[in-house]
Amino acid sequence: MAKHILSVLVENHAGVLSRVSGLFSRRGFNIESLAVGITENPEISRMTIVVEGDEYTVEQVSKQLNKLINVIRVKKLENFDSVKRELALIKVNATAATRSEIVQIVEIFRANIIDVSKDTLTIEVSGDEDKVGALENMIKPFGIKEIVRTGIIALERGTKHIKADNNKDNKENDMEDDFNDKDVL
Amino acid sequence: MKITGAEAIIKILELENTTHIFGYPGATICPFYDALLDSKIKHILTRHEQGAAHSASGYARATGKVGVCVATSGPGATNLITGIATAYMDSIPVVALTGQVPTHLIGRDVFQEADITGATAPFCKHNYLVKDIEELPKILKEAFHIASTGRPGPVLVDIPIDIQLKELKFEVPTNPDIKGYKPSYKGHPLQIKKIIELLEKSQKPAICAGGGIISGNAGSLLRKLVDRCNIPVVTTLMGIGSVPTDHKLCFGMLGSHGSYMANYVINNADLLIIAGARVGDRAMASAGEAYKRAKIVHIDIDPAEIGKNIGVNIPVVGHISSILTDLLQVSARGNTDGWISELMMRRQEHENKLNISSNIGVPDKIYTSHKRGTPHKTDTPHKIDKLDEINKSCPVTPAYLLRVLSDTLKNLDNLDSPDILNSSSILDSSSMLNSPDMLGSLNTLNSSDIIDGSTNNIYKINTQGSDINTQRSNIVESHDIVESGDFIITTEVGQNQIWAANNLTIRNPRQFISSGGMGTMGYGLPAAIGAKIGCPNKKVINISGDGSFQMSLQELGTIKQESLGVKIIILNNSRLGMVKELQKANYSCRYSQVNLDSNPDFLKLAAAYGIKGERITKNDEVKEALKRMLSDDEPYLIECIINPDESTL
Repeated sequence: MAKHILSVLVENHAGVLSRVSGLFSRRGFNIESLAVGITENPEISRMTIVVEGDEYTVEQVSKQLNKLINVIRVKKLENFDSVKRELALIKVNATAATRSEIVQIVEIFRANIIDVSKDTLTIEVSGDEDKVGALENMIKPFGIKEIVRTGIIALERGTKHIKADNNKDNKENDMEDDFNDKDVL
Repeated sequence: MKITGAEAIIKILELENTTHIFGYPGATICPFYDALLDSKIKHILTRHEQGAAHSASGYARATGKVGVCVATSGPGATNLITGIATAYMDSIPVVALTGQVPTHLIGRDVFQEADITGATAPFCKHNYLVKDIEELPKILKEAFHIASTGRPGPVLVDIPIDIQLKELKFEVPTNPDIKGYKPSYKGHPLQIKKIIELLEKSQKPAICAGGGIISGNAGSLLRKLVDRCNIPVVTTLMGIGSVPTDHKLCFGMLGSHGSYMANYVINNADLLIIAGARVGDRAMASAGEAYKRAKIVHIDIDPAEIGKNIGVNIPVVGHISSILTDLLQVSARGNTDGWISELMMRRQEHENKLNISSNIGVPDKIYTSHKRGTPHKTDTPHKIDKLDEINKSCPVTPAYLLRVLSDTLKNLDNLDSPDILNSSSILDSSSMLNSPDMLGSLNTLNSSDIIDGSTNNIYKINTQGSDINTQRSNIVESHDIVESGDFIITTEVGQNQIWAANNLTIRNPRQFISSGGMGTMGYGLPAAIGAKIGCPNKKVINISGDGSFQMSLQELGTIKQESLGVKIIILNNSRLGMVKELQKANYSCRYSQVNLDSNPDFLKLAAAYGIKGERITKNDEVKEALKRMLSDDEPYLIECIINPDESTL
């Protein structure tokens, strides 16, 4: 199943998150991860949602999201055109014997150790999906006690940006352009 | 000037031109009901909150205004949910106001508390929980705006009792400007141009008209397009009335329970224009096939509907009125004469074979869509005898009754005329032109003339050239056609709904009100109440089954309290008819829980509410009973005993 990243600007109101997740559950869409936080404008939050599905699913997800009153803009981020990052904290078993090996691996990945105890080390790593996954795989043999990931956040490359302009064209016009490219006479 | 929250709500309702609301009081909505006493808004007390929601929905569909319903917190609000969901599926503008426990007690499971905003989130366009008194006027204004613009839909506003009691300095809110809600109205000009090019080239076009035509008030525009370009039209259940069902280019309702000709048109067209319809699964079970066969144009105000159920070649997002106006710039029509004459011939053949107008729901075996493995066993198509030879002494035949009803409604001014209801006028699809009082002046009319139901002009079609000559015929001045068509039909759900959809002559939008998307039993009676409140001068008739009637029969109390002249026809087969048909088709006649032999005496029930009525058991009693029912403006109930084996397919 292909994965797609949607960047969604929403109004910063109570209950918006529940509306969005409710939409996904009742329409049967599969969310792999969802990260949300305030933007430069405190009234607006940005959600980065990773959806699993085919083209039709993603198109329906975007359109249904747009129908929500609290959603301002929805933009599908293409792989080649965006930067992605994820943060993970990994708590791994580390005795005196294995500690230095783990520290070496952590240094190679340019990750950080943020907690140490007699039996464990907690590692903080950020990067794209592949890097985080690779570190996790390297650390697995030592025994991972706990891992927490934030989910992917992403922005478009270059000067393009998604803004919630009041006076500009409405959000349907993004899709109108898609229509014009797609239709066949 | 300081007023309370409750008074502010009333003020906003008045500013939005609300004249009638439907509701049921309770503890947490008391401040609102107190403020209501000092207002000119008329409140109709229903007997169940679900009735209030359905009545608001029926009112909205009949008048085009936003319907308003009010309930208290907890069970009152949850009782609204079915009504709200029904309005959501059919895109009806409704605003629901509910009381709520005080803000500092929310979430503590106090008496009659329910998270109604969470519960209705899947079923409304948007909902609000008012937490700040200063926001209340703005929220209400936004609620009406959201409900009535774009694709209409229900909006719920939950108002805690302490907010209703707080005071605020009221200022008229400015026009709403919601960042995340800006529906587009104007269709993209490039897309419109592409459609016009296709129309001019197409040999076998067809239009599928849905509820969007009616919500968008585009009935006469659609008719102009149909006449100018000579395009056959079929309608969905929600679209009935968008073009007159007896228009020569209207081929009836499509779908699994629709008419033979409508499905034939859709299956054989090379260009399918879907206007204001969402391609529900009942309308087009195999939408994928349609996409392979024909070019699909989909016109809708909701972009999410486009591409959802059917692939599209030319999508257009925008308001249907604006788009149809742009399309009417088409200068010449394509060569559809061959297609039209083929369809006319086929329709005539089908009518002759079955001795009835083939706009009714008697689909041929081939076109009965049936998804399960075994082929659907229709023996011979259910034959209805030639109507003047109909077996008068058998139990009432629903199709016959409904067609007699249509005819009676056409001639409401001449109920005592002996020429009414002669059999040829029922059989003829343009029977209105043949009714006795028109015959004298009909020298200049022929069957290709169109009577515009909304303006009552008669347009003469010059079939020679490519232009349409429109001249106002002097017939309009001497015959008052308007009054005889002024009625509203509501239906319940099930067999009665399908018989009504396929057998009634509906010539105007907002004349046929039925729960399409959600198929809610118990919708018809409260919706009829709402329609009658909204259109007191029209005859309002509810077509019902015995099962559906019992789902909201308590609303008879509302009819009594408001002295509403709502007419009720119960097609009583003592069964849950549609479920029984499904069990016959898919479960080898293993009937489970479809028997309603313990029905009450409906006439006694009606009499208990002071409503008069009668029972008919044979076809030859139909005419007189309908005349009696329609002779005045009092509530009336006709119970028709029909054969339990009557089926829609």
